[in-house]
Amino acid sequence: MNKQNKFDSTIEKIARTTANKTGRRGFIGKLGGFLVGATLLPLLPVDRRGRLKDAHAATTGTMDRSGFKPQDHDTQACDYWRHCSIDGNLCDCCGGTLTSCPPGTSLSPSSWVASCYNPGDDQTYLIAYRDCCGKQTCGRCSCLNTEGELPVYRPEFSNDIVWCFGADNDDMTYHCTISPVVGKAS
Amino acid sequence: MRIFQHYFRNGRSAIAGKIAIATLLAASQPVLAGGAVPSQLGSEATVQLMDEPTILTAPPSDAKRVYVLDPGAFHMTSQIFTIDGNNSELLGMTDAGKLPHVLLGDNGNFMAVPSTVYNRIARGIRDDYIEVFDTRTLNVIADIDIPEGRFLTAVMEHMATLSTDDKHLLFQQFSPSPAIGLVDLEQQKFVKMMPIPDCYHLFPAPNQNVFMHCRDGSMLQISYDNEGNTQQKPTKVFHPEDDYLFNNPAYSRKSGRLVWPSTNGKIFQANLSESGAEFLKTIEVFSDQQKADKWRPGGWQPVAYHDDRNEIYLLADQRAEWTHKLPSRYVFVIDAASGKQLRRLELGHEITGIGVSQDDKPYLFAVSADDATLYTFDAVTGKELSSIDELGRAPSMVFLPRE
Repeated sequence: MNKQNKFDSTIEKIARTTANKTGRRGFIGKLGGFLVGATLLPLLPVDRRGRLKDAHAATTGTMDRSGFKPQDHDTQACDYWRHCSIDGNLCDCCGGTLTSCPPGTSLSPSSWVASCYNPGDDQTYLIAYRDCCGKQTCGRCSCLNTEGELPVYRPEFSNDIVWCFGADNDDMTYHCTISPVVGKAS
Repeated sequence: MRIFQHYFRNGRSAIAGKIAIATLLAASQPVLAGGAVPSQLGSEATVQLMDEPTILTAPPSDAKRVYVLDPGAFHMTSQIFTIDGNNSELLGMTDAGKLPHVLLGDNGNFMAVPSTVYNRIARGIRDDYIEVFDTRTLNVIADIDIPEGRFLTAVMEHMATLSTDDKHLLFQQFSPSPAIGLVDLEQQKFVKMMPIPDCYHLFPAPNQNVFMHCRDGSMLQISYDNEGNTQQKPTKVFHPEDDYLFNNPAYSRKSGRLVWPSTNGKIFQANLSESGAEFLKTIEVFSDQQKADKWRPGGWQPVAYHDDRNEIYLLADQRAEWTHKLPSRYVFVIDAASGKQLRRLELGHEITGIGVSQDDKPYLFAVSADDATLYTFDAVTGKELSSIDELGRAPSMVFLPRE
């Protein structure tokens, strides 16, 4: 009983002090600002790829026999929509990004292509897969996607070729693959 | 003609003697490398043994000798595992460079391996070469330099080949322009790059003929002489443009039978000979009900062919379209003459590539890249007989001799 009275009196004291120092409008305004800020925070353009990079302990999103099911938020997963026809390692997991090679590699000017569907905007894009060359196989984020992939006698659509033709120093050695967009597929 | 007959006929002892002489000569030279026994070692390090360690020789090759290739995933080095398929016993290993080919000649008595290395691991000076191995000792019996033109792809069995008489080796070049490299194994020398049109794969026929598959769905017959001069003749188109063929068909150098499945379940066949290509009736593998149930072929090395039984073995599973390179858990056995399904083997594993022994009690060999394991089945009953695991990083192909 005594403990409860002491608790009640403490709360009453805090409430009276707060009421004396702040107006209702100021309090509600600050609360509103906090709530709005909290709501908008996830929409700010922060780099989430670092968080995903930390979270990836192994290759994720690998395709199974049920087919390729694209997503549009995790570029380091095999099922990211741009990777629909990659057979190899994602440069994004090897020190590069979705569209840039890792340091010390050489970028091939030649590529195989595929049409990949982006579920984020319901559009299909032409992707020109470029290999980064001149180093041993990266080995991380190994993907075997074959959406629209054709045999070697249609080489422009074949992902089984070491696509290092034209890379600096004639390095015909595969390290990883990037997935730059050419444009919307007609 | 068997080009390495002199080696086998004259005996390994003669070669061993030459190697011993070479070793003595080398020993008389100043030691430059770090492989000599260090002089500062105590006597314990070179003590006389009670046991007598030796270097083994594999038994002679037979119909169930299996070679499993692990090229990794486009890695700079590869391993070839020599396995006695009778009991899944590992007999030895062979090293190779990037994306090598495995070519078995003289009924499996020798193995030619076109290969590529760089002098600074993955950069620097490229070197393409062919090593020829005795399949019992796994020693190199020939080392032939070739131009740096090998077409580097995920290993496709028929991008290089031995001629039907083992006299020549042919390999494909893609860049800077399409060509076939001609190697004289008898002379152990490269002959010439022979220009070709936009065609792929190499299927040898007798008397210095080879067929290729071209972009338009036809084949090209190429006759070549010892100097690399060619005559080229196209065949008719034998498959529709939208019937996409797998990258690894089955081909018998012995019979000239080409068995080539498409990703939607058709099988195209041809008999290839010096007189041309005879195309056979196309096989529709799956029934309408099986198609409705999404049965489709799939794998990296998805088909094998048994000459005497005239049977086709096709890796397949229930799968969506455009999953044609993922592994399968079943093999459909098809009569190559009638096209009828004879039996379906449930393998119980995720299988990447298959091969079948050519004897009258055939075994089906199935390699799983996921498991790094070779599984052996009775090809008639489908019973699993044995397996061997820890075969490198991602073994994807099997090779067997044809007698």
